[in-house]
Parts: sequence; structure tokens; C-alpha cells
Amino acid sequence: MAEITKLLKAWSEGEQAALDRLTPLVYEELRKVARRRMRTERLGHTLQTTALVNEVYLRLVDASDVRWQDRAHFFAVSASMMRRILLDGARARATAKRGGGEIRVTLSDDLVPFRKHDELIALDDALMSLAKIDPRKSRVVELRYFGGLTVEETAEVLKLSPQSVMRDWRLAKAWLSRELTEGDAVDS
Amino acid sequence: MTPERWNKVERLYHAALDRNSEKRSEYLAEACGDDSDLLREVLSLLAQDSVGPTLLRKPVEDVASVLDSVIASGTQWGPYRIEVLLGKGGMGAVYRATDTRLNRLVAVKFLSDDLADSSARRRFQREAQMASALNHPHILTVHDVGEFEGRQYLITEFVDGGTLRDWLRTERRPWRAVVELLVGVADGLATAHAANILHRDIKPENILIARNGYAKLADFGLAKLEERIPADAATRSIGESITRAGAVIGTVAYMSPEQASGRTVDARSDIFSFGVLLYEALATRRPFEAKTDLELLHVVIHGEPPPLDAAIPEGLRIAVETALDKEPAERYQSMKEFVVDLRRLLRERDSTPAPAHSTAAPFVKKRLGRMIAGAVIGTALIVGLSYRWLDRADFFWRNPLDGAHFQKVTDWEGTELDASISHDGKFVAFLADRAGTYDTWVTQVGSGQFRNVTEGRFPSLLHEATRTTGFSADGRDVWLRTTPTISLAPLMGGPVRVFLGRALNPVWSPDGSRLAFHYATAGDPIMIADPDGRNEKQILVSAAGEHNHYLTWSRDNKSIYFTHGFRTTEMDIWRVSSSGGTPERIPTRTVPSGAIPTPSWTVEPSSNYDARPRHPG
Repeated sequence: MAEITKLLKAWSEGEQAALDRLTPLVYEELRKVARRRMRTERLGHTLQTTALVNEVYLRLVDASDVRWQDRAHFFAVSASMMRRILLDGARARATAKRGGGEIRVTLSDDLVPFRKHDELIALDDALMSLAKIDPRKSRVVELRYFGGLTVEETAEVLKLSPQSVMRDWRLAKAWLSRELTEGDAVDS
Repeated sequence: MTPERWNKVERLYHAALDRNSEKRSEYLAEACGDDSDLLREVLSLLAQDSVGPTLLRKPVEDVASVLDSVIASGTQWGPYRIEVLLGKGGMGAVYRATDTRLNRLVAVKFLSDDLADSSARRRFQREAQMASALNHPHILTVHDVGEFEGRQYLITEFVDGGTLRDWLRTERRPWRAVVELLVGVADGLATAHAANILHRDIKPENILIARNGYAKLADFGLAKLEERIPADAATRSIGESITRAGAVIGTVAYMSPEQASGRTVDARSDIFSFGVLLYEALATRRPFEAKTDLELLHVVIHGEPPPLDAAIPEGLRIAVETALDKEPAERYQSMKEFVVDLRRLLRERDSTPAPAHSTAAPFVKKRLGRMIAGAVIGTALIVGLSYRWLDRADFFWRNPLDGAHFQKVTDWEGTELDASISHDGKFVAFLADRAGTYDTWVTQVGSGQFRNVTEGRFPSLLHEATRTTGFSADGRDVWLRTTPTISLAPLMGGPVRVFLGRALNPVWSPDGSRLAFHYATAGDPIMIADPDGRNEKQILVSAAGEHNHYLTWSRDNKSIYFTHGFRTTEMDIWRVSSSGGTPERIPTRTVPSGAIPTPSWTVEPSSNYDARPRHPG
């Protein structure tokens, strides 16, 4: 716990190497907690990413010894990790679906619709396109959507003013909306 | 797009947003000048809904449904090879797989990780074993149970189709179709209860309907595994789990009042749930409805369902009401009773609202109503002595009984069915519910003396889709369906002994030299054996989901006739040589809907066979 707290501090103070050491620790813990939570809660009961990240945070970090800015940094690491974990899952399921045609057999409950995964994959693709044009806006979306960060926390992590985060967020949403509804971006 | 250009787009976008909509286009036209591409780009961004993509309205959630790991196609362990994920439900993920040993499709159900701790694992294994012992055409067959990569799985037969929910959605079904579909499921449930297995989670999603219209009850006893609530805390826990994101949604509607209030449940709880299901299928609405699950709990415990439509026969309405009685002691006391009533209803020719018992006011109800129904429908068993078998047929193509001599054997209230005559023509064995349960009775024709051979010990004798009793080759024993085995009981009294495991429909050849039967496993493999059941040899097996019932030897001992494709549109009489080989279809004339053709011999075997429709029930 102490190590993570120290790494978080170092990273929020600008030490990039700390992030590299932090990432695998957070990733493992997230996976572990997500798996355990899924075990104890039934499907159909949504498991929110923020709740998950919070739990991991409490497990890994000595909260009494951490400034809120460091907490924001922790959530920022978690956001990227959540994105990776979720997209791996979504792509695996999408592949399974493509292999399966349209057969539906229910052995117990109504099935969780697959549509959600396709949407998630489309969003991820769009975010990658956006990152090519404007990495910062892509990152704002990642932090807000996959990490559940507030505007202030996002601003802290990206060293921006909250106003800039708001503007980035707004334009990013418009850009993604267009990308997702029209299918291809106007690229010149 | 270059960074410079993107900066320009961004600047214009925000600047335009700062202006009100009237000045916006004027501003942009001026700022972009001749650069129409730039204008278009900014305008297309401004045209987007300010809320953005729906997905982004709140942080990603429902991690569980995305994250639960998926087993890749082609993964193999033991004989099972995963083909494709069919879906996920509350209890885990279901895959279609191939059992490479038998080259058949199976469904693999991985239980969710709740079952990871060792006591839960043992419980799961035990429940699965019990469920797999249930051998019934309307219960989804459990083939195997095990653990793969730390996760518990069940292998069951694969049913290609939908659920009862889908079936009800596609069209409004007449009551007869509903009852015909569900009476078999009810019988399956009765069989399970007889083996002391409760279902506990009866709902339309748990009834699978194959493409050929055959219904199977799935997920036996599994609901219990989800139950980790100490009995005294049950009420509170159920309340909590409902307020918690509606984990129980959809199930509360089918709970019995005792289940909903956390009391101990027994078979009568399943009977209630089945009543809810039947009510919903008939009325296309649920008997108990409410806006929230908590209110629904209250309605289930205290509310009365609205009466069913008067177009539904009164007997059926009474049956459903009886099943839905709040007080378990006022319901049907066994699923078997319920099944008997449903079958009676199907046999009633007149489906108009029962004028026969119109004098019995509905609210003077239930028990009385059922007794009257029983008396009205009570049948008399008649045996034409010159016939080997007389089915309960009330419909003939050409009446082969013209000129026959009739002798009445029984004159009992209630139902007698599945009569057979011993080889020497002296004895008749049949099923009757005279003693309250369906038993095998034997009588020497003309003696007026009857003996109850089974005395309530084998509820499995009542079965819709197979014969369940008959004479052995030497006529000294009657055979009985004693699920999952076939047993022999001496005609003159004595202990019942197990004869064949997991088999159905044993028939000895007319010369007594061989025995044919089929196993109650996927594809109903037809076996030939010595008369004592030894040296069995498989002569035919069909695809999973297809059935081969009512085996009947040809007079010359050379081939076996049987009903194939049970309850499908392809249902017909087929013949296969007793030494195996390709079976041959013997087309029968059109069979009325709901009837099952069963092969049977007439006196003059000139036409080889005589297919009579047999109404299920």
C-alpha cells in the first residue's frame, strides 16, 4: 500500500517512470476486484466502473496519506486500464457472436444484449481516430467515461483549467457523435 | 487534418457556440471566407446534439456484462469442443458445443463464479446429479457435470429453438394449444417431484421449445443453488435484493406466496408457479402485476388474480384457480393431480364453456368442481377379446372393430388407460386412477377380480408419451415404468424387481425370442436383446430431439414398427429391421393435430399395420 501511495505521489509530481511501475499493479488489482465483484453480484445488476475503481483505490492506497490530486491520478491510471479490460472483453464477445449466427437459446434468464459491446467497440475505434487528431480530447473522454473522473479531477490530471476540460469535453462529444452516426470522419 | 487546421476548427466551433444562433451563421460565413470545407466541418460539428453520444452520458457501467470472460470457439477439454457463445443469463454463460465422442451437439452451461467455494461446489454437483437422474421427455436432459478451469459446468442436450416466452410472443395461442404444449412439462415436473426434486424457478424463460414444437423444462433444482439466504432472514433478504437493482425481477412474478414471504417451500410451491405460468399463457397477462417488485411481492401474497376469460373451459379455469390458491393445503396436493385434470380437459371433446357443470357456481369451487369433472369424464374400459392391444382411441379411419364382440372389463369412475392383453388372451393389465394414484391393475377377463399391482408406489406410471406397463413375454410378469428403470412385477404377487436400466417401451417379439426397447437418451436408441434383457445391441438411433416411441414387433418377428419424430410435423410410423439398417417410413393418413399415431395390429395383418391416432393424455 505504501509503495502505491509513494508511486502516485511521484507521478503526480511529474515523475513519468512512476506511472510505468504503477500501471501493472493497478491493472492486476482491477481485474481481481472486478472478478470478485462479479462473483458476488448477479448479472443484471450493473457494476459501475467508478464503484470498482473506488474499491481498488481503497485497497491499494492509504487514503489518509493521499491528497485528492493523487487520488485523481490514481483514477486516471485506472481509466486507461478499465478501457483496456473492457475492450478486451467486448472484442472477445463480439468475436464469439460473429461465429454464432443468430441462434438464441436461453437456459435461464433473458440474455444480456450483445449490442452494448458493439457500441463500446465503435466508441473505442472513434476515440483512437480522435487521438490522431487531438490526443488531449481523446484522453479527456477516456478519463471521464472509463474512469468516471469529474471535470475538476480531469483538469488536475491533465494540468488544465476546468474550463478547458469543459470545452474539450463538449467538442469531443460533438466530434464522436458525428463519427459514430455518420460512420466516417470528414478528414482533409 | 493538420494540427493547424484542427486548431482553427476548434476555435471557430467554440466562438460560434458563444454566439446566439442568429449571429452564428453570419459569423462563420465571414470567418471562413472562401474555405467552404472549413465551414462545412464546423457546421457539421455544431449540428451534433450537445448531449453527445448516448453512451457518454454517464461513465461506463455494467462492467460485469462486458468483462465476464468468454471461452474461445474451438476450446476443447475432454470430449467437448466449444463452438459458440449462445448467451449469458443470470446464472452463467451458455455455449453450444460438440461432444466429439458421440458427435452430437450439446449445450454447455458454465455456472457463474458464485459456485466457487467448496460447499457450493459440492451442492452443485449433488443437485446436478439429481437432475441428471430425471429421465423424462419434457425435462432437459443433463448429460454431464464437471469443472473446467475452475468453473462448474453442466452439459445438457442442445435444444435448437426459443423459450416459452418467445412462443407466447409470436401469436395468441388458443387454450388447447397452450395446454397441449404444457401438459408434458407438467408431467415432467410431476416426475421430478416424485423423485423429491423441486424446480423452484418455474418461468417461461426456463421452458425451451424446440423448433418442432416440443417443450422441455430446463434448469432443474439450480435455483436452489442461488439461494444462500438463511431461512429466518429470507424475507428481509428478498426485499433487499429486490431494491438492489432488481436482481430478482421477472422471478417474483412466478413465486408462490410462501416463497415470496420466505417460508419453507415444497412441491406445492412449484405447483403455484406452474399455475402462474399457465394463467399467463392462457390470458397473455400475468395473474399478479404491480409497478415495482416490492409491490408485486405484496400482491403475490395477498392479491387475487382477475378471473380468466369465459371462453376458456370452466374446468381449466378451475384447475388454474386451484393451483393459484394462496393456501398450499387448498391447492393441488401433487403435480400429478394437476396433470390428470389437464389431460381430462384435453380429452373433453366439447371445448365450449362446460355446460355439464354449469350448475356448480365457480366460487363454490375447485374441489367440488374437480370431483364433478372426474365423474362426468369417468371412462369405462372395454376390451375386444380378439385384439392384442386396445388403445384409448376414440377416432378411427376405418373402424376395425366392426363386428367385434365387446366385453366390458371395468365400470369405474375415473380413468383407465393403456390396457394390454396377455399373450394367452386371459389377462388384461391397464392403468387406472381408482385408488387415487395411477396404478397398474390386472384382471382375469370375466372374473370380475382386480388386483392393484403397484399400490401407489410408482407415480412414473402416468406418462403421456410412452406405454408404461404391459405383459412380459411369458405372461408371468407385468413390466412397469419405474423411472429410470423398467421393473417386473409378478402377476400373481411378489416383489418388484429391476429389469432394465434407463429403458422405455420394452416389447417382446411374438415368438418370445427377443426383446426390443429404447433408451431414454438423446435420439431414443432402439435396442434388441435376448428376452431376459442380455446381449443388447443397438439397431437404430435418431438425432437428438427426435423420438422413437411405441415400439411394436411385426407378426413375423422380423421388424419393428415405431412412432418417429414424436410430436413433430414429421411424426409418422416407421419400420426398421430387427437386425438394424435403414428405417423405412410407412406413411399414414393425415393425423389430426395433437394426436399421436401409434402402431397397433388388427386381427388380419393383411395390411401389415393399422395406425390409429392417439390423443395425448
